[in-house]
Amino acid sequence: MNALGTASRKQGGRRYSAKARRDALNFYIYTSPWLFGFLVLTLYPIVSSFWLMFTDTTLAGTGKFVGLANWVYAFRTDPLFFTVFKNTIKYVLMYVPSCLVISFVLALLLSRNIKFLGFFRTVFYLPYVTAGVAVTILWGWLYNAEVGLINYVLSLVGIDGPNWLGDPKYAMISIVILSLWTIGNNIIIMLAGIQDIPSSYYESARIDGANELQCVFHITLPLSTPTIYFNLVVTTIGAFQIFDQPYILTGGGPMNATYTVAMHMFRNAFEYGKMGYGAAIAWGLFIIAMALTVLIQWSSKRWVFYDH
Amino acid sequence: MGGKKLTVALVVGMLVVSLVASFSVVAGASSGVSGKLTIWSWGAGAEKEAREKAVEAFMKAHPELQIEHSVIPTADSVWDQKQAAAYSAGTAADVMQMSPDYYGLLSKYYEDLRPYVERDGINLEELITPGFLGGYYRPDGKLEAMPLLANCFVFAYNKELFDRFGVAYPTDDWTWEDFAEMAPKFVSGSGFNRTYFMVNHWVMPNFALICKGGIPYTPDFSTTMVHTEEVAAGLELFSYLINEVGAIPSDVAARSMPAEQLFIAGRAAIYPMGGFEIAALAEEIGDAFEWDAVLPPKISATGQNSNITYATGYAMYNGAKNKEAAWLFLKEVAFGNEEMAKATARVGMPANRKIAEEYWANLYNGPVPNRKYLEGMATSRLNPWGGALAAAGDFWGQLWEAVTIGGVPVKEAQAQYAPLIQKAFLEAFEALD
Amino acid sequence: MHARRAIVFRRMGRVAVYLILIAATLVCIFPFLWMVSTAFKTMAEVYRIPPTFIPRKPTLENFSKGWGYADFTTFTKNTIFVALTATLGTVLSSSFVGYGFARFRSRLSGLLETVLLGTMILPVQITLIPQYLLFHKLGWIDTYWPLIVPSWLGGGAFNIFLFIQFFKTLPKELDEAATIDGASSFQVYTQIMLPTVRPVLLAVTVMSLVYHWRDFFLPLVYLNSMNKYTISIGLQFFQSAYGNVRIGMMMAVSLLALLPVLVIFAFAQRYFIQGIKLSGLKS
Repeated sequence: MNALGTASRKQGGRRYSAKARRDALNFYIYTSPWLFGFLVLTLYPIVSSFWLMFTDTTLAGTGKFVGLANWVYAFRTDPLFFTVFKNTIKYVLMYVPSCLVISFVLALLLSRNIKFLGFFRTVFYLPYVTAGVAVTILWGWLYNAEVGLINYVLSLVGIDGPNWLGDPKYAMISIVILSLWTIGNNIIIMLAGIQDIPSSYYESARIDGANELQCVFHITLPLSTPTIYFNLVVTTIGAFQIFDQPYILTGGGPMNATYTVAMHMFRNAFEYGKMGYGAAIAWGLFIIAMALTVLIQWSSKRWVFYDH
Repeated sequence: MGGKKLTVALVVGMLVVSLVASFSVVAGASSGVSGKLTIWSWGAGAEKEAREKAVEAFMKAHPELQIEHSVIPTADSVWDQKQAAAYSAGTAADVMQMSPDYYGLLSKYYEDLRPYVERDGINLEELITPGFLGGYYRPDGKLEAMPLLANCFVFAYNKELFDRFGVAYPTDDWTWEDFAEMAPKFVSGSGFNRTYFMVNHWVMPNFALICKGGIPYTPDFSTTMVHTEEVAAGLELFSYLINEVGAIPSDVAARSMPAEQLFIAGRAAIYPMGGFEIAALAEEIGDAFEWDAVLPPKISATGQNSNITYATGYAMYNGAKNKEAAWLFLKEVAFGNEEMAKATARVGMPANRKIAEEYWANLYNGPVPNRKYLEGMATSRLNPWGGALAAAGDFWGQLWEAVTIGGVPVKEAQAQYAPLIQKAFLEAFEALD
Repeated sequence: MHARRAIVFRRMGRVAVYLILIAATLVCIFPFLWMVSTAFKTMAEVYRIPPTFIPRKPTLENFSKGWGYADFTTFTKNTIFVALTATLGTVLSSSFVGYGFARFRSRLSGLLETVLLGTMILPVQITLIPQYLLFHKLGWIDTYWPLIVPSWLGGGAFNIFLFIQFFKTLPKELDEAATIDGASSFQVYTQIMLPTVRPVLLAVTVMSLVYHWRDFFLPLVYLNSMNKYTISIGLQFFQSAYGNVRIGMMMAVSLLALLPVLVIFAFAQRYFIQGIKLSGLKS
């Protein structure tokens, strides 16, 4: 019995390893375009910026090895290092969950059999298409406390609107709202995920007497976890790099309330000419965002269901 | 017949070719340069147009040169990155637009122009509008670029609002004390009817710095002076106008929204109007209301009108492939080509002294003669926080926000930020070496 | 009794659905309408306080003047070329690579998937200069290669990752059955995997098109000749260095620029629905 078991295991092992080899070969064949691009176009700049972190390289490209001096500067001297990380994390914590909830709910509604479906889908994607410098400038205008339309509309219903971008308490929230306005991509992806769920699941659930809400929580939500996971990862990564909106709207103010890591990195590298220190900030951001991504990746085994 | 025609055509053709060839040889000989020249400018809107017109004038004067001109739109952060990358790869253009604001950061890449000036025996002081050159010299004497244009400020005012609130129009002799005294009189209404004395313009922190006689740093670049009583008094003035009186809106969004809106819509009486924006603003105001402009108020301690200059010019990339052509362009853009100067005059005071004084000064935008800016230039100082001093300047901006938005007492804000400014200031000069 | 309550609830649910949709529509469309309104206003009216929503004297001047502000006709042609070639590359290569990650294992596949995500995390600004030096060595400065080639090499981690997620949701039995029937892995990819994720293919196409249509960072960094510029660079010509913006013209040309993409989206979105039918068939 024992010997038989071992033999079959051996045989199984051999079979398995042949398949594994074929599998591995296929893996490299299919991922080769990316692997090639990564090794040739991406790896060198990454390694190079990693090295930069340990130097005092200036914008003009001259510099020498300084060990951990940039990190000592970050923790001991730079008065804004912790501020920018605190602000960025605050942004991530406000933006990511609300983005996921809103895009899921809207995608859910858009997946239903409603009238004017095409219109609604186009309208919800519209902000993402229009987003850019022009619309960001427009938002600054809308937000303006004195002449902005948002406070005007609020005043019509008797609300005394805040100084959206001018008040340190509201500035980051205003940036979050603007970002939430352009979640068209998230909605589309959520929608594609929801559409992918076989309709037979709903039919059999309904026969079992489940109401719509139950269907959402027991079918749509669990079966959308792969897309939710995707959105969670890419939105988190994107949120950590928030740059354009605060750069155009507030320049990081008021009183550094919207000053983010990416802005601090940019300013140090390209406006103050400290490329080395800029690289250190970028890698600080990388470490935190990567740690979180790996954590999400690891946790996904518990809450993401792939097989229908 | 056919043969004869052909012969005639051939002869004429050869004549034309040889004529053109000899012309271009002559023209080439006149400047002694030839070949290809690449130029990168930045600018948007009217600036872009002015740069293109100026380069066209240069091309017309030098058909022997093959010119490739690119205007990069001023998408601030991207231009910074593009030029840094291009310098490090050696793909930058022969001639690169640079502002004295970039001073120091990219020094390594700028050709020292002194030998060229000496070689050609040029007296720059005579040819270039006074006050323009200073910013382009490094402390060690290196001349990093040739000026293109510079702009300072006038204070435009809405006559109708002055009449409405019964305040006498300002004159060039007014002081910051007069300014403070009239400010509260313009505050009225609420919501869309709210009126202000002055709009919130990005140049204000710099005026706050100098309006009571303060200076950003000592002339020898050794120490910052932002901790002084004079600077405190300037900050107190603006803190009072913004927070206590509400004569100037406190709004960081003034950066992104059209800051001129309050003025153009007749809701703010005064707009600090840069020479770079007056043409556009005059057009926007149209005949909506009567307006005029005066010099910015005088600093009582010195009796001189306060002013801040923003300037830009062209540098020669030291990796330039055609240095002689580049130098020719720099000379002409700064002082040697009147057509180029006239093209530039559309967006600011040209560096060409003759054109600045005889042509540009006589132009008007709305009711304001450019001469006003020329007068302002006499007592103006270059934006103190450009380029290598950007880090110190950003701390100054934070001090300003702490006072005007955070309501932090001036002394407290100074105590907190002055050491940071001093440190960033010294770091900037260490990095220069 | 119970049934009637259920009907009432369902009606209320329907009303709630439309209320949410309409509210979201207002939020989405309001700035856009403001943009449209601004584009048709005269300079004087743009700055009026209180603002007018419907222009009193609508004008087309912003469109005609704005379009002539820079060579937008050339910019549009360039943008179409870049966006189409890059999008084609993105759709083909990202689904191909995504298939590899989703369906095959090697000893390094787990690590490489993490690396893939990692490449998204480092801010683009910090790798810019070495990347630029590399592209310079390849002779790619002032060409469209830096904008297009990466699209053909996987099309970015975002798209690859998206395909990985969708391929993973497909039951393994699907391709195993096909393999037993003698299909090669490439046939499985083209004949089973791709048709099944058609909505995703379409979504990636649209997203990539919009991305390349709007992107101005890379084109501005890598393109030097003005006759190679794209629309997004051109739009920057309305904003001066000192903050003055030609708002009317900027909005007018932005509108013209986004119109093609919007039309494409409006047509494409109806095919998103096809996903349901196919998925229904598959189980």
